Amino acid sequence: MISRVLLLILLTGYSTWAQKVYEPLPLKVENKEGHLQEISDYESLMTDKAPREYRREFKKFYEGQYGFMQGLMDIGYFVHDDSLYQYIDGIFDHIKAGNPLLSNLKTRFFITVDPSPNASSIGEGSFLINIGLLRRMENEGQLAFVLCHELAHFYLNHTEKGFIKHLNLINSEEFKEKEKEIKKSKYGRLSKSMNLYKGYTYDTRKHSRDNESQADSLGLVFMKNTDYQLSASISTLMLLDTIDHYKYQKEIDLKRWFDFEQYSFKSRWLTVEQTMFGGRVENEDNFFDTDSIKTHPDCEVRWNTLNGYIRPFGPTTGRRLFVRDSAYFHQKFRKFDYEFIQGWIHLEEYGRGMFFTLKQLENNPDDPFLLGALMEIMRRIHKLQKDHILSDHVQKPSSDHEKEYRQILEFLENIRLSELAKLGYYFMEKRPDLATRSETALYSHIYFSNELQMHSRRDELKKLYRKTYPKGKYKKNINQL
Amino acid sequence: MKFRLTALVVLIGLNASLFAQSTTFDNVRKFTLRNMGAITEESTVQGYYMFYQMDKIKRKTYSYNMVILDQNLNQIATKSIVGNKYLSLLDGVYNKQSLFLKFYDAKEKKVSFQEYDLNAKMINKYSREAEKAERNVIAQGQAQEGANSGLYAINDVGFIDYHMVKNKDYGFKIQFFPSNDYKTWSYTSDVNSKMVTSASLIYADENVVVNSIVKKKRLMSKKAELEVLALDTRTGKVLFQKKLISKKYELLVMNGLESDEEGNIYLFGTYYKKGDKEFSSASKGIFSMKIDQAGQVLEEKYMDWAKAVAKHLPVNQKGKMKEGGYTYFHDFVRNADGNFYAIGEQYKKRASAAGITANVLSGLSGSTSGASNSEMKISNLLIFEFDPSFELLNVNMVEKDYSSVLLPAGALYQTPHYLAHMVNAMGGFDYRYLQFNEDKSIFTVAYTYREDVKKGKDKYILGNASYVDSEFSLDKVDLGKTAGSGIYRLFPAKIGNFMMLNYNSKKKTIEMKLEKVNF
Repeated sequence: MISRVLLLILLTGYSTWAQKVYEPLPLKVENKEGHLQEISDYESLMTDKAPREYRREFKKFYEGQYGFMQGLMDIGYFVHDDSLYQYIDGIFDHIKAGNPLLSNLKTRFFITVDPSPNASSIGEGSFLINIGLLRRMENEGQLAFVLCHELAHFYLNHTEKGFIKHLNLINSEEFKEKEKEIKKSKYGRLSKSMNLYKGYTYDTRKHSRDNESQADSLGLVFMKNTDYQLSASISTLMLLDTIDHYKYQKEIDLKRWFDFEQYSFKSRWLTVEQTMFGGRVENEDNFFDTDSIKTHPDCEVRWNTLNGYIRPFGPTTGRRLFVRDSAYFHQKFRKFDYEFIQGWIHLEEYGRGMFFTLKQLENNPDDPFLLGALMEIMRRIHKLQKDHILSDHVQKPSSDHEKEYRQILEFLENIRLSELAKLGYYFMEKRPDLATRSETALYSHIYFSNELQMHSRRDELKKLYRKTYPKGKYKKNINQL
Repeated sequence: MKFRLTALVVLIGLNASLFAQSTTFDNVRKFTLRNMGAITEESTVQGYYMFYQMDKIKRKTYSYNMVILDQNLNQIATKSIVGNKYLSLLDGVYNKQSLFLKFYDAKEKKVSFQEYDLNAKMINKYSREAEKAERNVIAQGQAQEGANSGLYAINDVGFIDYHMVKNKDYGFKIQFFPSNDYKTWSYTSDVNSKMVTSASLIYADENVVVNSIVKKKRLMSKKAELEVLALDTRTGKVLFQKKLISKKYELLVMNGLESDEEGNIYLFGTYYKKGDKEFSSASKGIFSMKIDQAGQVLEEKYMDWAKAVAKHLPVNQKGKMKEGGYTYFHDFVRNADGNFYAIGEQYKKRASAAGITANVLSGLSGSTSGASNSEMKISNLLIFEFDPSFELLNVNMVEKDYSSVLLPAGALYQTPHYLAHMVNAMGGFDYRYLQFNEDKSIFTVAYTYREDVKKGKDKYILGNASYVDSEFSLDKVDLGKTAGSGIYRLFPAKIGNFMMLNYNSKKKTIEMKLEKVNF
């Protein structure tokens, strides 16, 4: 017989466990003023160092960069977590410790909500690392290579050099002559301008590809002076080569999620629209040559190049994939799948948000965070559609879209407002336990029952909400329903 | 619906470098949007065309880009066209086999057509001289949004174009362009006729093209002879041309639909007392008539205001409601359930405070104003529902704030019914368009009006009255809220959607938005 005490512990423990849903990282910037001051100081310094003839342009350029960073901070584009920032800071410190060249560089990094797999060096010492990239990192060594690569861009002043190159180009005698010629011409001004623009673009994109190659090789040099395995640089590029492939492969079965006893799935929700010409027609003459406008060399070219550098470095005994903390990495980084979904919600891109949430749910069907996120996205879609402003947040289907993603867009395209409310409502009715595990799911349930004018059910759910989440964030919202 | 826009310079978001700011590069991104419109296939929007002036390539010669978008605003094809600066793209239609575009060169006085196959390859070109009569109509149409270009698609068969000609008096010509193994043909109205004769398409399929013919002694005559002209789609031969005679009434045909597998045709419209002038008299009600392909009347049914409609609406024997006035019919359609719907809008002639004020002020200053003292009050939409045997089931009144159309001088002496035709020609009614889905289970009637807001800015509303599997629903859109800032224009879109074109005059950018209608 279980003692009362033990029973109480078990029940309390169960209740605590049942309510434990992942809490997304807060949108926050620590020491915002300090960062902006550092950025401003750097930009003043670099403006003073700029070639005299371009000082005005540089001032304007840096004002733009400052405004850009300030804007991102103000709109809640960055997330913050003390342990995560300390962890990544530690990787930066390790890289800098092995590379005295970097020790005087004032740098800072920010983790963005952006779900795209990217990282960037702004050029004034700020690095942006997207959640979308962090979630695909397989080990610490790959992250270290990414940071080394971005540090290399900054160390080599690629941003300033690129800007100077641009200014030199458009201020060159040759370019000015061509501009004069275009302005003087009576005929064909547009095609001449476009050719000039094409030349400019090819030039700057080649410059960009060269910069990427430089950042790869210098980044590898930085990495060589750390304890990280150099092969992580290769595996990073191989990962980037297939980064467009979905992390989770299992196909979404919409019927699985949206077929209910009380409300069955309608086959017309999956109807694919036919378009004139069957979709996009290849243009006989594309204006740009695709390869010439790439900003990065092909990944295969990049990793082959790096391989050529790594071999002469000799054996790599003693090097590791994890220098800081592998347990922390595995525990923390797998949560970025949730942040990835949250990122789509932050960016108010609900078509992709719904798609990726369902993708993850196919692998993890009972996850309360994912189920709650799905309800939240559907609720937001419903509200936007009701207000006739959905198109800013959900793409229309196109033959250019990947087939599985397109299916979700077609589904959202075919579904009617009242049907969407019913799906949300019955989804929750099928999962009564979800209400106590996900606050956002319960709020969505209340919202949909209100939309369907099921007032007594709505009121029951409101009572449940107030009891389960007495200090809940939707308190005011439910009072208005 | 065509978007009339001259010399609109638009910045297109080319994928430019972060640094690429120069006037030269701005030139690369600027285009002059000449024309834009929806590409339709029967009552469905299949996409859009945009016609840009790109570059002057030699003296009097310009390059244009014609961009084709699908119904989701995805760019699917771009074609380069060379022409003079007076070239415009009037309309585009699609018939499941090919896309057909109608151009007009105001300098050369030529109308031309281009046909594109399903790989967006041009497969046919046609052109003809545009006579003065046609040129005037085109100029008028270009000045007015939503004007009909006279071009229609016949699914899987070809395209048909209507235009005005000058014989002894004004007549018409119909030209057929095949997209299958049929031959091109044309039909011209009687060249010796001294009557003003016009034609409008009421129904077409692979066998027959049925037209409503109106003959008048003069352009502005109120008395007209009405006929139905049926042409063989294959050959253009006349199958029949006859006055649609009812023993008891005068008939005004509004629309036609295929009725059954035997190829019989349903005609719909309004009917009048014998001897009345159809264009200026109050109607007695709505009629439906089934005719065979020889023009023989097989069935006819009359739904009078006084008895049949009065059961559903408080109308008198002339169809007049005390507040709303009479009903002007825009369209007659049938859905997949076989039910028929007549879409009407209420109108009432009344004194105009603005007109009277203008005239008094002009009189005081010794001049004359062009305004009349009358206006047309346009109020609610009425949607009449009939069962497959044309029994009236219901009338849905869609309420909206009324609008007023100031009438020209002399309107005082005209009947409201005559003026209603004039108001319709001016685009003065609030009805905009009707959309069907592929299987005809859903249709939507779109209308716009200004909503009076007390102590606030008036709203411009798009209303959508929808029938989904014969169930009625209503959705209203605050267009200003959906558009955001800037000037916007409304376009029809695929079923369940509407399209807005927003023009930001500061940034000189165009944004197109496709939003869902709720039902």
